[in-house]
Amino acid sequence: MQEASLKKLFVDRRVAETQEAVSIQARLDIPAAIVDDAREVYRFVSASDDPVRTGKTVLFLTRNQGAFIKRCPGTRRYNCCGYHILHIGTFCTMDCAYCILQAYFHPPILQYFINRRDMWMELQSLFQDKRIRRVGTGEFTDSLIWEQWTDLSARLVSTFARQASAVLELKTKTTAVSGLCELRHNRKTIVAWSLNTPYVIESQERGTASLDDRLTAAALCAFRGYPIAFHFDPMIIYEGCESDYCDVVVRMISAVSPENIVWISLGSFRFMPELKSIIQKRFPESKVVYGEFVPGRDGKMRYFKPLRLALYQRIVATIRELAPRVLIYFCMEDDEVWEKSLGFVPLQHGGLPHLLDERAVEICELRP
Amino acid sequence: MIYCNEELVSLSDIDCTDNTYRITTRTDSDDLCPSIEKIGIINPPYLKRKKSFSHKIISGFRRIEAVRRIGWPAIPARLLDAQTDRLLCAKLAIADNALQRPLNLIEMSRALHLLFNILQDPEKTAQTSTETGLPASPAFVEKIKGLCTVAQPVQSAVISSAISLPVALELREMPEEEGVRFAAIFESLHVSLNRQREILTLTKEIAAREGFSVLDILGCRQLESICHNSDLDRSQKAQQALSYLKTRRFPSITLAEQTFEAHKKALKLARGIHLVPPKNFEDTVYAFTLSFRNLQELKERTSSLAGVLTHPDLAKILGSSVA
Repeated sequence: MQEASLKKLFVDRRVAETQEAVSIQARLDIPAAIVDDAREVYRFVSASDDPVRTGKTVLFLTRNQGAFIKRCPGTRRYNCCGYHILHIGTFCTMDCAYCILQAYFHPPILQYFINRRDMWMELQSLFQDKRIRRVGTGEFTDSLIWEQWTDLSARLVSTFARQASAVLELKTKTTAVSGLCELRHNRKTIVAWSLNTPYVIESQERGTASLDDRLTAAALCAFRGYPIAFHFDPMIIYEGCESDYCDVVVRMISAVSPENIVWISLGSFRFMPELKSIIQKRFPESKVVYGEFVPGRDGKMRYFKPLRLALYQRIVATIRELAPRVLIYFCMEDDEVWEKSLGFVPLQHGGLPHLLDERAVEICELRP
Repeated sequence: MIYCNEELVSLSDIDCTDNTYRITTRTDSDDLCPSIEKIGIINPPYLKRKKSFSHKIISGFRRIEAVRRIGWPAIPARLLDAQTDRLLCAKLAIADNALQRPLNLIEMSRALHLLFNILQDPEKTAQTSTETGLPASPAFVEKIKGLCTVAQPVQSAVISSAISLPVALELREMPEEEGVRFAAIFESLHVSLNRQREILTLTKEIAAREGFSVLDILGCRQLESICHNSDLDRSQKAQQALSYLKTRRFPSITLAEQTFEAHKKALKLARGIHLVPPKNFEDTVYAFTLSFRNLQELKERTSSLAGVLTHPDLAKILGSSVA
């Protein structure tokens, strides 16, 4: 994470005296202010010309007012993986043109939740439940952008290592894995990377690690015994994209052996309609919103189905050729896409959550 | 209180090049000449004295032009003192027009622009404008005051109602040449607001995606050919222009729609039977709708539908599910 990009720290008065808040403040040499009300922070961000950009330079330490563990909102009318979000914070310091977080939060604020005790208690309840659970911290934020000033991931990895019914997935576009390397993870933490073509990374993903760097970090984690996952999401359609994505698959398999890969997900670019004008304004050079999109059954704009099917089929064929036993799944796609790309629909195997649970049991040695 | 003298002013002492207070967009005076010749000037223009005997016109631009055309050497006018402040002059100029007739959008913009330049505040501008016979809100002032600064062809298109206000405001944000080009197309096609917006959006998105300028897209051979085709009426031109832009913007979707329509046509569905594809071909559910007025029609149409089930084009439609 680029610490230099943070310009201001706001601290909720309720957490100002906590050890973690003090520790984070000490690590960040930036102006700090204690606030009594989150609205002060919202007003500060909203008042700027580019609230999204400002939201990435302001860190707000506060309490999570709701649950730490929640079901992923997923989407209606398409198959969802049924994983659980561990809500450690919101937003991101990197700046990808296509990022849905730009439109998801109003205003978008980089928040980190300090009431860690509540989080541990919820996790303990989850573990006591003994049902297979896949839990991730990378839904509303990047899992590893917090590494530079917190030890959260290390503590989570150690916590998950001591139980056998749940896996933790850390999903990232960074290479901030040095804090994970010496940990005893017991294969209960999956380290996952969002992948894209070099063209998309360079043109649309400001501040993220290069493809090579991500794969190097993935290889390092695989060497340390971590199960690895890759998410081709969002896949962007452009001239030559199919061969570019196939090339990424080849490089991915070269870096990480298939037996170390838990799963690979595929998902083409999809977005709430209100994101379009945000992208046009903040990234006027970006062409991502000028593809052939149609409203999906869930109201999100999606590539016209034949176009995304053609891309999926090509990538699946490449993955199958190089890593035939790796589980491939689609994020938020319907049965027709599954059938025509993978040759089956999730329900034939008990549903997508079941497929992923079974895979987690196998690779991460879970014991429900 | 307005302090002025009514005098006979020589036309050579009036500065007709200074349009500071011109509200009217009309440049002709054909309708005024006959009545002035017969009856004279009923409502003398307001002029503001200037030291150099070149009086500034505050109101009555067309009356002065009419008199010039008739060949009169002078015109009765109300001369305002040289110290008369700009705000009073502006109010006179606006009232002289707004109290007599409805103003078009450009005239409203000129009026509000004139007031805003003096008052520098949307609320005060709105209030003053309302007092002079042109009701306005601060939001309206903000929205419209800049409209009179757009390129003349765009203004003309607004006056002729070829362009709606929202589109005119959008054209104002563009480089002038692009705005002028769009104005010309909309003048030629005379399409509705929704269609104007569609043309704007499609053109801009095609340009953005393909790496061309908007002017490149508007000047492309295919569009030029449609717009200059004298065998087509306006409506046909508009339809073809939109169709071309949609196809270029969404080539795969357009092809899929055309393919579906071709297969559907080959089915030769009987009257009252319609085949409805999934919306945007995203879902996989197709629907036949069957309308009927009586049992006989129901039987006939059901029988006809049964015959369609074995048609090879139906298999092509369902077998492909587009992909």
